[in-house]
Amino acid sequence: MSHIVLKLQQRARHLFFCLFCVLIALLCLFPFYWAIVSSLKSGADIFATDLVPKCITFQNYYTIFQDRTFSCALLNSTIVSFVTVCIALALAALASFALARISFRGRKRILIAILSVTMFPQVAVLSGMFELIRTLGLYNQRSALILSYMTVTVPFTAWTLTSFMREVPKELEEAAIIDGAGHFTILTKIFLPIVSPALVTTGLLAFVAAWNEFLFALTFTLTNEVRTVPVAIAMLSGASQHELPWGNIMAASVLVTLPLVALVLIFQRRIISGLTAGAVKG
Amino acid sequence: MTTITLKNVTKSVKDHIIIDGIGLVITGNSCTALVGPSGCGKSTLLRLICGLEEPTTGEIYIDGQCVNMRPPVERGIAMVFQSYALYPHMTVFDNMAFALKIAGCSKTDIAQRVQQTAKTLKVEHLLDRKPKQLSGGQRQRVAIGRAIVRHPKAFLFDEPLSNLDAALRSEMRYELARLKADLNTTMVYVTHDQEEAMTLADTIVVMRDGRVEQQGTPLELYHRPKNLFVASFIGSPTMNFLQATVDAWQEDHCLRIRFRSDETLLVKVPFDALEGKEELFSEGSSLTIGVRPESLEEDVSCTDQEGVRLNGTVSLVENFGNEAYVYVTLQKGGHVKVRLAGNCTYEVGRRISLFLPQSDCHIFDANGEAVRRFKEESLC
Repeated sequence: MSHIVLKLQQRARHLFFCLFCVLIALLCLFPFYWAIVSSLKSGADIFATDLVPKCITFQNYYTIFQDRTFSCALLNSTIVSFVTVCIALALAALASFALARISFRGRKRILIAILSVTMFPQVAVLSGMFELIRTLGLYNQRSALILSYMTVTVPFTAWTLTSFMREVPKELEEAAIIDGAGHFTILTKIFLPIVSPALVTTGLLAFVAAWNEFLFALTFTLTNEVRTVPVAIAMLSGASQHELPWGNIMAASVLVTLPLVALVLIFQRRIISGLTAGAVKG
Repeated sequence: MTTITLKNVTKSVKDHIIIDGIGLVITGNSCTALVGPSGCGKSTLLRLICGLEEPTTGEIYIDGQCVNMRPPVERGIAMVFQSYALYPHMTVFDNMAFALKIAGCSKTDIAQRVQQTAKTLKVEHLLDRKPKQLSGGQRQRVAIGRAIVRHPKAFLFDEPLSNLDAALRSEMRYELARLKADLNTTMVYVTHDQEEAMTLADTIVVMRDGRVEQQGTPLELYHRPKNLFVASFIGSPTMNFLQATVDAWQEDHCLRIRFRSDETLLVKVPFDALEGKEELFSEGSSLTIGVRPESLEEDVSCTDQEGVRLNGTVSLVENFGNEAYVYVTLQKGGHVKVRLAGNCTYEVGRRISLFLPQSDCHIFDANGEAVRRFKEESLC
């Protein structure tokens, strides 16, 4: 008797868990779904609350590409994010190897400093950053964005990679030392291949951060030629001053999300754990 | 012929002394085993030799040259790690070729040397695999191959067999012995398993608390342990220890020992053996008598030998078929383990009378130091 009750209880729990999961999924995915649906509507349809659009039109997508502004912004975003990630990963790889593997004075303090830098709100550094960029003569240039994005991405990637580098068994490093490898060879030939899943993951996160960044991009750019997508979307305007072109904004938002989804899908096979299997016992 | 010499080497981390003034000569073309309980500093000593750690004081010489300031690669030494430490992202071939690539060897040279090494270790068919696709024994072979391929002056092994299961371990032990004969170079082998040391090594160095307790051939250590620690560490099962006292000195340097059971035994001690520690052998001072399980005999009929009888009851029997280890509780307190023939049955609780021949007694003074015996000269 009691085991039937238990079984029922178990089923109920399972059902409840499933419902909960569905609820969370709905909560997360609905805004994105709504953006897609809205982008496929046109005219007054956009203010209708149907879950499924009555007639599908690609007019909005066509409109945003008619103007050069959006494609230019896409290109800017790509360049800025890509360069930021490359430089950030290169710097972070070198820094994290030193922080994780070479003992020197003040190592702990540097780590704490790196962590605390990531905690500053962007607004706090905005005015100082603006002065810096003006002094360097980078205002309204893509390099201004790259430089300012690195203040966020380098500490974050360095901190994450440091913890991954620490995980690499010490014997591997020692074996390489005995084999005659120097610090740089150990980093490039042993450590980086081993932590490559972490490199991909942190690189992806840094890319997303740079791709979606808005405040710095808004402040440090002036003209359409150097604007990134988030700013370009915000600047999208309709026929009159009082009309917000929701359809176009939604279409642009969907387009901007697609590269990120594609990147995650491409790299998901590399975001795997257990790459060190077989190195040491086990 | 590569000789490794350590002169008064110490290593301390903060206030903790790990290696405490070790002087050691590791002779060329031989296998030296460093043994000792965990934490005795044997692995640290190995790391000092290969250069992964720097000694706090003292010098290390390889082939007569001081290598204190040299990086590991210039010492010409290869090391096999306990955990194998194979590079997980490289194939077996690349693992073995890594050191050669760094040394700048030509591609054909590398390929040839790796192939040749793989052949000696019977891993040619595995060259394209990654470490995670290998079994424990295969990984071990590749790790050894990675060391051999460089043609080093000396090999250092850090507990190489401790990760393998028992069957594989004895197989690899055999292979290592074969390899040792083939390579004919200097090998230093760290292990906590005295059996491995006894079978593989030409010389054993027993360590405790960062010091060398005794260095010698396996049989020397077995038959003439310098102190209680070495006596208890070498030999399996371990030596039995019995408490006794000095009863009296008789003429002609004969020492009469009184056991707890009031039995006495006369042993002859050489003139110079007690020099400087006469007070430890005054009448009534306590002694420890060590006796190996195989030295005790059950048969009481052999009265032509000098010896002593120990009476007790059987408390536990481990019968392996070819031999049996019988644990005996002695009448006046104390236990002994005795090796007897495996073809008899020994019931627990049975009374048993053991005979301890005088010539097989190891005598240790109150400080645990062994007393030299006359018969020892003829032994080794």
